[in-house]
Amino acid sequence: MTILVCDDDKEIVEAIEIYLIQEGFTVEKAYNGEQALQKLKDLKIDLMIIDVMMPKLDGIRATFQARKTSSIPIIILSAKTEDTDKILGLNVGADDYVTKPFNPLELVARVKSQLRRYTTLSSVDTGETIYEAGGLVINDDLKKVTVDGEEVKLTPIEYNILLLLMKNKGKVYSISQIYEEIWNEEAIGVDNTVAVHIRHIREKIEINPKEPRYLKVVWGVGYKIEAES
Amino acid sequence: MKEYTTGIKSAVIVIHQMFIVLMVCGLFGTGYVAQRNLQGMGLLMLLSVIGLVGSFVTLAYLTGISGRKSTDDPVIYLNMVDKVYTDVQMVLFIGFIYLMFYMGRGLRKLDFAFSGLLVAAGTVGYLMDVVFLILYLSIVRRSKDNTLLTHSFIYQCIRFWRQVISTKQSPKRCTKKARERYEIQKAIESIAAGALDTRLDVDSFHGQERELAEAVNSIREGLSEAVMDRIRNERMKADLITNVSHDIKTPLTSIVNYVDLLKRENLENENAQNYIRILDEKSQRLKQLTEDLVEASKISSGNVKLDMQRIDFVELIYQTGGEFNERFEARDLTIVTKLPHGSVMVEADGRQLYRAIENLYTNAAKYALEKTRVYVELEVEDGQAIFSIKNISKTPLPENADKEHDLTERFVRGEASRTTEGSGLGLSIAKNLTNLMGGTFELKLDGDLFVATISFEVLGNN
Repeated sequence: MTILVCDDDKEIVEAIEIYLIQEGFTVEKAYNGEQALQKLKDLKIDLMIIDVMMPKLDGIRATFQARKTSSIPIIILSAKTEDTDKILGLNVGADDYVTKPFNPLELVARVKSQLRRYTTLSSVDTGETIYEAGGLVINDDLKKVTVDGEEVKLTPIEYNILLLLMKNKGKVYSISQIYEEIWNEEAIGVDNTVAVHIRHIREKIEINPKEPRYLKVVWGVGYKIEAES
Repeated sequence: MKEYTTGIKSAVIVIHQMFIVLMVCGLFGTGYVAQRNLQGMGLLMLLSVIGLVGSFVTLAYLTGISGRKSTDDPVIYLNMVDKVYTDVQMVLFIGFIYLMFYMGRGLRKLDFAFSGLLVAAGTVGYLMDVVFLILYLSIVRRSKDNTLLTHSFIYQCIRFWRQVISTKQSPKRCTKKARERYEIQKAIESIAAGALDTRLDVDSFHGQERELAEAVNSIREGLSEAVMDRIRNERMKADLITNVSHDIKTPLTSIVNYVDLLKRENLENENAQNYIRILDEKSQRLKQLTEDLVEASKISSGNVKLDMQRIDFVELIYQTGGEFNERFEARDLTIVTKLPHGSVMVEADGRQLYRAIENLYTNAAKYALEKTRVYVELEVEDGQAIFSIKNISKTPLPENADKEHDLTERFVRGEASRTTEGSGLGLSIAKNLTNLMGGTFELKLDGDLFVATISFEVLGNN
């Protein structure tokens, strides 16, 4: 699979190339938005990683242009960390937004996740009980949880908490509500238990548990699975 | 638009006065001629009629333009004469007219030549007209301004006594001076309370009070300029830090990536491995530092969007505890939590309040002495939800009480050396975020005991 890496800093492009080649990908390089669009047109590219601040054509414009003709996954890479920058990037059509300085392993994980999601056909309806939220899938018949096609091992309590939230996507559950649902006991002396389980689930299903895509923390209210991610 | 300049007005006045002199002389001449049955009465009468008509026409025009500066400007401009009370003006005018008649009384008997008498009559007529014009135009201006009656000695007296009676204060305190003093005092109070747009209208003050009013105005101006400057500087600083940190992040990305690549190179040399480990740690710390720096500067310049909601403080503390328990366990710290049963609702931005509390937990996880307990409490007292976290510091805390304050300053840490992890921004971020959301942040140091509290007003159950 071919990945196009575009950043005006050559060393960053080369470092990303090394990591991607180690994972068995082919890498094409570009150093500004125009080059990236050209390569996207001329070659068969499966995924694009693009920086925002670049000469000639910046990453936001390039992404916007690319989206007119292509539906491949695009990951934006940027030193801008503001929420508004992220929202802008995702709004012009990027699939993911990674801030600099990034952990290279996290970037590779995100590349793989995007590709799996892009290439895996949506699960065939086999009459099984399946709950889905983006790339997160629970098969309640097999008690199996997959994220972008990759299986995740959860403990029974973690599984039940995740199932509860998945069955009620978008609904916010407080700690005591989760406690009462899962343990079937009245929540009198609640403690950190539920919160700890939630963090463990996040560490297993999220690439970056501090910025969860699926299991969101609503601070001071509870937890929920994002209805549409 | 047509302008009424002083030149035009003066010219009209001069023409008007020429007509008046003509009329007076004409009338006087007619009388003189009639008395002595001389010739030429017709001509003199014609001259006086021309003078009469001309003076009335010019007077009418003056009435129209008096007090105005242009056709487009509806403001009525008053001058020095208009400051004299209407009734005082009247008395002065009547006095003057009386004086004129008194002096002109013997004019008929004087045995002057006709030409001499004409000059005398013309002069008297001219002087009277000047005084009349001054009074008349002043009345015109003030009736246009709607102050003809209010701006009179009698009216002011009535008003003053009415005020004395209605407020039941001693007459002394109702004087203009007292009123103006009171206004200045009010202005100073509102400036002290932070209303920096309070401005006194200097023209409405007199004497000493005017000087005071001017001084108050200039203090206000200086103060508001200083405040604006500070806000601007703080913004510029925040922008600078954001831009610089963007520029730092790009090379830092390469450093982090290549250090990581070096780690995978299976180096045999033990020294080299050690060096890489150090590089790795330091570059990670640099990364953390740049991120915290941007956050801290944004928060201290108030550049954060808040999403204020009703949230449950108790839930938030449990959630935070869940994020941290392993970090505490790793350093053999025990969290002892004492929270109320049921929920405690406050108004805050959950995410930002979490960040503030997260910083306090991180602080405890980093700086608490190993194998001790960390106490986390939430109490409700006098309508305030008071969150507190207490821990025993592993290094001595600053002894000087003033330094409690300093710990929340950027880059200040409890220990003098700067070798350990942490950016020194945690407490500053926590304090500024809390204050931004309307809560109170406090630190107490007692020997090795470190206590941080965050309090918010409790919301009712509606």
